[in-house]
Amino acid sequence: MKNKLSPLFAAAILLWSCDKIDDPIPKGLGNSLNLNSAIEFVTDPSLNINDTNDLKNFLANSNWTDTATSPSNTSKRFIVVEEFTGHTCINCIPGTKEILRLDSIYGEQLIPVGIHAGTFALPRDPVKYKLDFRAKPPGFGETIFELFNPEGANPRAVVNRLTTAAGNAKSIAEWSKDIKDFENEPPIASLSITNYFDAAQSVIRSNIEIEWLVSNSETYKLQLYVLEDHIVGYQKDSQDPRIDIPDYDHRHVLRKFVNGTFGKELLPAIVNEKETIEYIYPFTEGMVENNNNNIKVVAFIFNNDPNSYEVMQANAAYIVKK
Amino acid sequence: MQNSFRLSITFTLLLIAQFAHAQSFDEVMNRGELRGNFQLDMQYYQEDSIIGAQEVPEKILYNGFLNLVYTNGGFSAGVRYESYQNPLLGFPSGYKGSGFVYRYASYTQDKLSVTVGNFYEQFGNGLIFRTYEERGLGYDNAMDGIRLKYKIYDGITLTGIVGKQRLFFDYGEGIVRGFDADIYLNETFKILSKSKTTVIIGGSAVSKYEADQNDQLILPENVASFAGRLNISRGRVNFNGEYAYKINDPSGDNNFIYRPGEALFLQTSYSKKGLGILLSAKRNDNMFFRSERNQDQQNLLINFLPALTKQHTYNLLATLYPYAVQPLGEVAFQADLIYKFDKGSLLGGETGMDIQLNYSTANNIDTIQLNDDATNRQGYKSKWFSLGEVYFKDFNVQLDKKFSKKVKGRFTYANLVYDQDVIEGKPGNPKIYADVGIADITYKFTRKSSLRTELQGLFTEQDQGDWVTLLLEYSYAPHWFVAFLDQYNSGNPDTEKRVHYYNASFGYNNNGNRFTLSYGRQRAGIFCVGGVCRVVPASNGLFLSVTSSF
Repeated sequence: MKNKLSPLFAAAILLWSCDKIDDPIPKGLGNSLNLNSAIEFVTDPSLNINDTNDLKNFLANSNWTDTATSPSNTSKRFIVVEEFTGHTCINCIPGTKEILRLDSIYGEQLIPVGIHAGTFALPRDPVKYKLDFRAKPPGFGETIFELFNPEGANPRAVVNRLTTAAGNAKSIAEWSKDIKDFENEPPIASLSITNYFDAAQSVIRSNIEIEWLVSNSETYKLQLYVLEDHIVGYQKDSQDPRIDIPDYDHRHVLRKFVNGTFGKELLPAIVNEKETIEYIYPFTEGMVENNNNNIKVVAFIFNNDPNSYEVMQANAAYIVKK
Repeated sequence: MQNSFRLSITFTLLLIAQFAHAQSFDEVMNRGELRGNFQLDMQYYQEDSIIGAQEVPEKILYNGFLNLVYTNGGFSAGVRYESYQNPLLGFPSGYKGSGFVYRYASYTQDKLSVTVGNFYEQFGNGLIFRTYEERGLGYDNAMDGIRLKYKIYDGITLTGIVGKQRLFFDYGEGIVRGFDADIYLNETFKILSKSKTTVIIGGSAVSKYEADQNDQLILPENVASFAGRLNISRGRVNFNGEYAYKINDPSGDNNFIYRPGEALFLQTSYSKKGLGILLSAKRNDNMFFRSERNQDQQNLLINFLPALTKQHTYNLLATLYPYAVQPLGEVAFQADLIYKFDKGSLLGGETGMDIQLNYSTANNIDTIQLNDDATNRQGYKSKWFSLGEVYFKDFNVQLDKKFSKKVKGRFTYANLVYDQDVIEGKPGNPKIYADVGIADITYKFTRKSSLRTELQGLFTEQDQGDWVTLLLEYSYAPHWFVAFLDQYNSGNPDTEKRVHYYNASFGYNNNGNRFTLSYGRQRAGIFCVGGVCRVVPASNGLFLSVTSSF
């Protein structure tokens, strides 16, 4: 029996080699692009900026024509409303109307984001619903949609990512109440955005400056979105006799996740400490040509605890001066 | 196309080989047997934004397949044609397409069995290797390669496998190699042949290979896992235990940590007439094992971790809060008791009564985070005999009682604790505490016709609040049935979501063929088999199902 077994066992042992790795981090990685100690530059890989010399050259040789800045929010907590919508959703226009009504009340304190995701956002027939309003990179918007609106019903929205007990986005009637709850809340940080734009290269530099107004032990992340406003295209509407509205004005459409689905982790929240991060990235996801006046960058700080994800501070700035 | 071509070649060669040794074509064919089964599930979708039901551009989607298996003595070969143009909502979109996705040929010669092509196999309890198919989940991780089984000595069977795993209409990048030895000691050692105690021991090893194309980390290209098992039976008592170990396997599942994985499964049972007791325990830590490290969902899983929870069948219990096994970390226990009260006993009454008591719990493992992402990336430490947070608890009792020749009933009560945050990946959600009551009454009008009524209620203050369900099902044996179902989310805190989910269906069975047609709303939920789950989206429309076998 031993003679029979031995060749088979030998063959079997040869089948499964295994690689035990004691030091998984390759040497020579992790160079940060800090031109000075105050700013951390985060560059999009497609720009091929690999070291500080590349960065200096890129900054020097680009044509930054405009500087656009966000309002101050040192004493006010700004509020992000992420609305889930879609161009074939027959019940969604009332949602957008409610967002615009709230926008007219709260002004710069309210930052609406229209997230086109789920089945109602799919591009459909090649004549009417051909536009793809979904944000890039593909799938990022769907992740947010599935996380906060798992039932997939529209229109729904999360206000500062405040969720119900079910973790779900809420229906129209509850948005104003949720916003009111945050209206007079003191901020834990100020957040400002300064945008620089090179139209020839379609590259945006978004300089985000955060100053903590309190100290705490929570972990926070920074999320950066690019929105496009006033995209004209088809929209279904159960209330309109035409059903298919050909020239609907789509507002605050999320077009790009700049720094991943769940952003970048920030340094610890220590009162009076500042952190400045500058993202340099191309923006080619706009749907309307020469629409630079309607492109807006939204940045917000949110709690990294998956039990919360609450947005703590936010701001928005166009990419060109208005 | 390529698959079809390969299939034809395989069949031709195998048939030629058969004929070469046969006396005549007729003789060979007369020995053979062809069996098969077919299924088509098709749905016409309507938009229903109240429940989040999608309209689909194709209007109609379907899943369909035909299985054919030919056996002739020690030889067998089979094919399965699958078609999804396009797949039903809730099934992975990767299934889009049609083709021969499963084909195999195998023969047994003396003590050696050879299979080439696709095959399903399991080592032990599946802790390090199990490939199987579960159509309701859209789950199929079949191997494509070679399998050898050899009975090398009395009671000793060796199995070797090598190949790639199915990924929809393609195969995963990783190569899976495995070996298993199963030893039935009572057959191997004559001294034990008359023993009342039977002992089976087994050991297995499985390794996967996948190239390292990551420039941020040094990844192991060969990841091995090992398992040992023991099964002892004596009289009415049985014990089954298995331990598995996996070396560093950084992947998208575990956030690319290099901590080894471990799993332990223990189960013991006692049974006699009218009484059955089953006790089980399991602990698994970092035991996702896939043949591609960046895959997710149920794709390319190499192993299977059994769920220690009762698989409910009633709609609210089965699809609202079912438990999905957590391969990253779980400690689970289950106790199951079945007892029959005899006719004439105090509780059994004139007709007797069956009772089934079941209790199961699943907790996280207890961990301490190491914060070593930039060094050796072990991720965390965990204590073997300490429990983390509660993921799931289910206490349920089921009574089966025949009241008369015409009336019988099944009554179920369940108390659940369900961590939606972890089980469904919905961060921030509180734990759900639910009570569920179900009455299932069947009234027989005649020998052929009967009416079954289900009344279900699920009561919770969390999530979507209370649900009630009414089902009326009239059957006229052996061919016809018609049913009406209404599920109502009566306690949803958002009054706009207090929605009725009506559904009407009828079906016809005859000679192995079954047709079912239904129309109405389908509530969003979760469908699980053995702790592996698929999210079922809300839908509205007409559904047709045809099954057939020969």
